[in-house]
Amino acid sequence: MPVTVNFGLREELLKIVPTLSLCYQCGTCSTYCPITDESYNIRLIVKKAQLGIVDPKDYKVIWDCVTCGTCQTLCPNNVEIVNLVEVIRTMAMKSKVFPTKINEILWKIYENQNPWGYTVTDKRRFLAQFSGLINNENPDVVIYPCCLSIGDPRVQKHIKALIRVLTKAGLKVGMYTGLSCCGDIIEHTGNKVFYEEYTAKLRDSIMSSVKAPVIVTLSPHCEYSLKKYLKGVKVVHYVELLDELIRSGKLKIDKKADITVTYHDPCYLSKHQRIIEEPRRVITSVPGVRLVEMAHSREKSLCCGAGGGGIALETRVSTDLSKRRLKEAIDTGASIVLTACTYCFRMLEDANKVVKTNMKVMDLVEFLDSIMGD
Amino acid sequence: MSEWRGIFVFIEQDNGELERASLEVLTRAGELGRRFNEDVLGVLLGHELRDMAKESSRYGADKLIIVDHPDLRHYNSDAYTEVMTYLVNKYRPRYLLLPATRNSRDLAGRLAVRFRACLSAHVIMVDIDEKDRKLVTAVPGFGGNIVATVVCTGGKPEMATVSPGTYEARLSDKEATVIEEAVPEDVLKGHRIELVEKKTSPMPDLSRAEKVVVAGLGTGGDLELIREFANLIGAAVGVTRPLADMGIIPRDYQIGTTGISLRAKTVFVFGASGAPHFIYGIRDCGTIVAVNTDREAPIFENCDYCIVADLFDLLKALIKELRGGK
Amino acid sequence: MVSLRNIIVTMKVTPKPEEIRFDPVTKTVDRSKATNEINPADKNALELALQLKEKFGGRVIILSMGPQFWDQFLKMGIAMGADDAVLISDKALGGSDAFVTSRVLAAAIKKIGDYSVIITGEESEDGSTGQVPPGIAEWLGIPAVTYVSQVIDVTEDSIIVKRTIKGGYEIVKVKMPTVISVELGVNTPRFPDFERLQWAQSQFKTTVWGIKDLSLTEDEVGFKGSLTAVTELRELRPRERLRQFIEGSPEDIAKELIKRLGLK
Repeated sequence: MPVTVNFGLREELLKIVPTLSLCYQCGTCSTYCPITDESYNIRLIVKKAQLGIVDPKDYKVIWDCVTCGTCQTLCPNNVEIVNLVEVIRTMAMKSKVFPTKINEILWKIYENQNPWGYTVTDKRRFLAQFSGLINNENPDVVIYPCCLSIGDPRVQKHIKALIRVLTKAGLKVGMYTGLSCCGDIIEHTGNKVFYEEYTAKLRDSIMSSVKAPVIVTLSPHCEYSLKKYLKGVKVVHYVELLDELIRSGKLKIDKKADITVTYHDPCYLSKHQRIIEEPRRVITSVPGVRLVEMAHSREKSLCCGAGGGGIALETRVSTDLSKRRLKEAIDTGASIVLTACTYCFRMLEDANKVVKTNMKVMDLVEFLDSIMGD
Repeated sequence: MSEWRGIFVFIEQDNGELERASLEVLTRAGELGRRFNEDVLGVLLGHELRDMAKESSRYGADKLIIVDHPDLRHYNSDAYTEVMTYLVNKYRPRYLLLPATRNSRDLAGRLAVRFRACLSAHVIMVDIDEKDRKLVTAVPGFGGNIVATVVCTGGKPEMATVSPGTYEARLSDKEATVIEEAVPEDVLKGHRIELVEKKTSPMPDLSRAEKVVVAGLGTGGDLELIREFANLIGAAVGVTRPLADMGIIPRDYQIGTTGISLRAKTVFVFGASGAPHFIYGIRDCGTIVAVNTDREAPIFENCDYCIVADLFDLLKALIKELRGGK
Repeated sequence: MVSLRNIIVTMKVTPKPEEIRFDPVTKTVDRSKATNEINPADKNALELALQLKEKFGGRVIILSMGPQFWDQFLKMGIAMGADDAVLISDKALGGSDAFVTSRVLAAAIKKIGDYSVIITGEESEDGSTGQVPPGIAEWLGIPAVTYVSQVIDVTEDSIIVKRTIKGGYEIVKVKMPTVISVELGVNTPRFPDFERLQWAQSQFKTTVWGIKDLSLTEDEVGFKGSLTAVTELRELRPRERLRQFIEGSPEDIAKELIKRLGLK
């Protein structure tokens, strides 16, 4: 169909996403995009961006993207597709085409420092659980909990498991008690100005209270976010830390486990940060464990549906994706599906509650801790 | 200048439906009237009032003033303010009590300014000071956790809107003398608010239910099993604020500081974390049974029987057991 | 084409109720450690006002009575899309009850003038008297419609709104100018435009008035002008509960509950 190029918008987009010009429409992105269908085609959106003809219809569907990053990870020219999606989201926000729920989520982050609306009372109750377990005097490493943990008892168990495992490796473990959201959702829903203000305050709060050289997260979203704006402190996800501790002999897993497990790669570990082998090494370091891979794994891992604000927006695609992924896990025949992300865990666990399988969903450190016992 | 004497009690009605909380206020006014030797005058505005007048005359009032006019059938802020002003000016009651419902609070707010009178809102206690005979009330604030004792420092009539459920409505042995007041035509002219459409469905009176089952956010808005269980035990169903926010259930069913306070003998709370504003709404209940998957949930500090379990599993088990194990 | 004139939205800044501490020794309320927020119902009111402006034109003006630091919250309102903001700030206003508040706000509204509609939240989350909206209306001699959930239409001289009543709703047509109080949670307040917020913080000047600007005297405001007084404060202590945990399978628990409570 004949189209008039909008050079103004085209130039603007090329300035913010210079790699946009490198796309030659091979179609790898839309092939591997987990939500490609009649209404959403990322390949077409990239083409339209190149021509400056992104329109209000695109503003509507752009909110389905879960920012999993499969597209840009597999793109032969490394086009920054997720960045483009976020830019289009910013444009959509300006044109007032966005899910109303985003207003709620942003207000909650602004007023409660988390998108779930957890209050000071909830935070106090959360911290009370950890009062005897953490050392904030002179910690070797400080845990930065995902803000979702504040009200999620199961995830709180993961944190306790992590504390136990790290303590066994001889580390003194502290925790960031501010319990503020890392800002992931603000960034990926295209709200750059609020993101900058919010993270500037958060950075000051973290830097003034954290006394260790290393911050460890349970969520790759937190790691990805904090790494961008924290300077002077090392930020790692626990799989990287555990991998290092095991390889250096500081953490020994002696007990055996005769069990078959599969591993769900969180997108923000495997795709956005290429942390792929570390969790696998940790899993297979447990004697007796058999690790089987799902149909889509590593960089091609199928997203659980939480990213890009999906977990908070509860779009049509996000719950569908979690069910699809759970099915892939069941198809491996494993007894447990392990993951290393607070969001992935929640999505798969909730899907499991609905679909009711015989499979268990566990966080990797929770699994490790259960094997290691006392 | 004649003295201000007597207790006016605004008896709320809307389109022929008597607001039962008014009868609670009447009962309390009756008690105060006896103790302090003040006449209690119920005031009923509406149209075709005979049955409602008959009923309200047996709850402790000495006199019942009724104003029957087609313009007053439905609550109308302008009309009711003008008529009440006329009556207050005529009878000069020292005190004016109303139930703390939407319409009465609306009316009270206008009258307080009209008369430059003191007004305490949604009180949970109303009394008269022994010494200076000024109105004394207990007013909850800050989400219901803090109660202030508020006194009237000026203005007449001394006003208060009383939270439904604070007092019990009790039949009195005396029957009030009915006074039919005709309001001058010019009082009812020139209204600026016109009723275009109205739709209501009968509401269960949660504040008087003996058994209540409350659904919290943990139900995700899925009330099927909740309703089934409630039916089996003859209980009313209420919700916490998040569920009312979701829009699937009207706010009339919301329990808490901004909703209803329950006085049930037994209340079941499924899937609520126990936020302070909700606890406020169940504080006066007999036995509280709470179900939540989080052992640390604050609801467990405020219940008699605490159950850490999946609410759907427990509901299914309860229903099965109540149906005879089938 | 109907066009609204000034749309005045009142705004109160309140401490988050669950962050309030009660000092049992001094028997006072300690707000100092509580974070402040825009009274939730006022956000719904402002959102309604902005939607009205989008549809029917007009200028949205935020009006508030409080201490100077509330200005940052008024600016959030500007960032949401309001056109102007007025803050009534005066030491003499300390201790004002709802009666005084409605009087002060009414005086300010009169001074702003040229208003079609005044939109307020149904009540504040701290005092929650709900008296200010009808009070303002009475001071100004205009009608008030409370507990409004949405605006249906605006005509040359009236506004048609949906009002929540027990068990249902009313649709009411009211002549302008009028006061409308908005129910909590009836809409989703838009998040501020942060670029506009930055502009507001650096360029926008809130108009500040004292009681003299409103021709009010000290005797008419504050503790002196109030008709109610707080003589005592106490914490509402919920009664002691058994706190007995019942363990077991759902079936065991169900049997136990039915037995203990005599449900069968």
